[in-house]
Amino acid sequence: MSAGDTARRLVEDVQRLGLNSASAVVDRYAVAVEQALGLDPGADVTAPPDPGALVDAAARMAQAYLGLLDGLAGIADRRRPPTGDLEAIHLPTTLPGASSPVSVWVHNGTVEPVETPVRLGPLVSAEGTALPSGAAVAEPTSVTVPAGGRAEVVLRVDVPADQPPGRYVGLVLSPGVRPLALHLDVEDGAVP
Amino acid sequence: MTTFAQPFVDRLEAYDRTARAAALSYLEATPSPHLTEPARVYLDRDGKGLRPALCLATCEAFGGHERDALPSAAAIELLHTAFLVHDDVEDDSELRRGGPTLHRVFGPALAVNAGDGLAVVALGALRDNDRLLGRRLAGRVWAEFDFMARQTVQGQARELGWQRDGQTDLTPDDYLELVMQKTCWYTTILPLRVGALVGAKGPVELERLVRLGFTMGAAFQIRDDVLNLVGEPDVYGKESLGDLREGKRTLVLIHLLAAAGPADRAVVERYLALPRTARTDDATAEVLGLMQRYGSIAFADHFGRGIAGSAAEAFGEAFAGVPDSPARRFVEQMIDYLVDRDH
Repeated sequence: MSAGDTARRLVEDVQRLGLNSASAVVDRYAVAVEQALGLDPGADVTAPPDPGALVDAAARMAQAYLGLLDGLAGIADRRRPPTGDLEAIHLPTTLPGASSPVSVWVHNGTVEPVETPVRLGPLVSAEGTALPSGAAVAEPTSVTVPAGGRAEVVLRVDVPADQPPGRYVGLVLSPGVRPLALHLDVEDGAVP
Repeated sequence: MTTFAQPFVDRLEAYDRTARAAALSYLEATPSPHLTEPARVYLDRDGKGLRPALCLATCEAFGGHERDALPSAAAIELLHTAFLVHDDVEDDSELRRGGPTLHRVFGPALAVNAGDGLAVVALGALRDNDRLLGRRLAGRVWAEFDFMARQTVQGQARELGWQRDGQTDLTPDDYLELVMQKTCWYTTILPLRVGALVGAKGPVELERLVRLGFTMGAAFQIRDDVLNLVGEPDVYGKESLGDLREGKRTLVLIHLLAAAGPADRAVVERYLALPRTARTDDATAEVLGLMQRYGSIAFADHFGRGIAGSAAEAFGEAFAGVPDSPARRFVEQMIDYLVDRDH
């Protein structure tokens, strides 16, 4: 092999190294950008909201409210689990006369800010005792969640001093989000 | 040396004028001469306007109108200028676009603030996309800018960190990762992706534009590294050997550190351990001589040409189905312009 051939081969090797190294970096970042943006690269970003998606959202809402009715009926019935397979949030166990707060995070996987209300349904015990209206609050009651971001909502229950002990169950509702079950155990006793 | 057909040059200048005028109009809407006077200095100098031109041309090639991409193109140029101002302060560079750097003219405080101002005005320009494109597409474009800006500052931080920590055990892969973050995303990938999104107003194969943008941008950056060592300052427009004096971990330097024998490597490491002001002309010339002796400049040049060689294929894939047009041909010619430049 001549010196010229050797040099040419070296150059080709270096160029191949450059190309292969570049391809590996591109592959990594092509995945990283789509993951970071949380987007379908082929999605039509100009189209109005998909009617099918609206139907899905309406169906989810209906399911949520049916779940609410089902859950409350289940509490009264005591034969069925009150909240089906909903994800549950457990407030810290508390005593009558105390407050029990917990933070939840509302996530927005879309590319636009979303303003959404957060509401708490009535909390009812298996014995049929309910916490008074207004005892359970979400703060704030409405959040604006940035695109791809999250926002904190504090759920707090102020348990009256004369509230009977027991497990109280309710629902956290926000449009377009699967309802969450909210559990609060009130122990027998009083705040010292 | 490569020459370019007049239609390409004319089109580049036209895009540059359009984007620059838009960028200046956004800037001039800020009623503070203490901000606008320094902030517009680089915009008033001869720049090539490659990034906004790439965005505007891609938009047109994908079927859109130039005006739809104008806020994005202006934002690209404003952000680019902001990065240059801050970069010059960080590196204490002397020359930019054929004149003294901003902080050498106005002092670092006004220069840094001008850089901040340019970035803020750029973000404001993107608000016009709501009106032009609708909230959904505007939000998508915003997300692209957000990702790009994060990559750019992370890349810059990585490079400065390497210098601060005296890092010398780097590989070509480290370098390419740096270039992807620091250069490619805002120089080529974002302009291509945003141009295509705005132009098509529909589904686009964005991954292919990442590949095209990276091949163009990496080849561009490697060429820039080489030109900084061997280019004529009058043509190149920046301080000759500036990267070496700053201790930048270019592909050339990374190769030298890997290829040099122990004694020569020690010379390079001692040079890099010096503060910039102590890197004398003689010491710099000695390291440059080692780069030539160990073939480091040639290595980087060939490495970059290997990447550039795939750009035509990447263009064919990224622009498959895009009908022939002057804008499409402009983007294709931009590959040669970036890769084979001596400017």
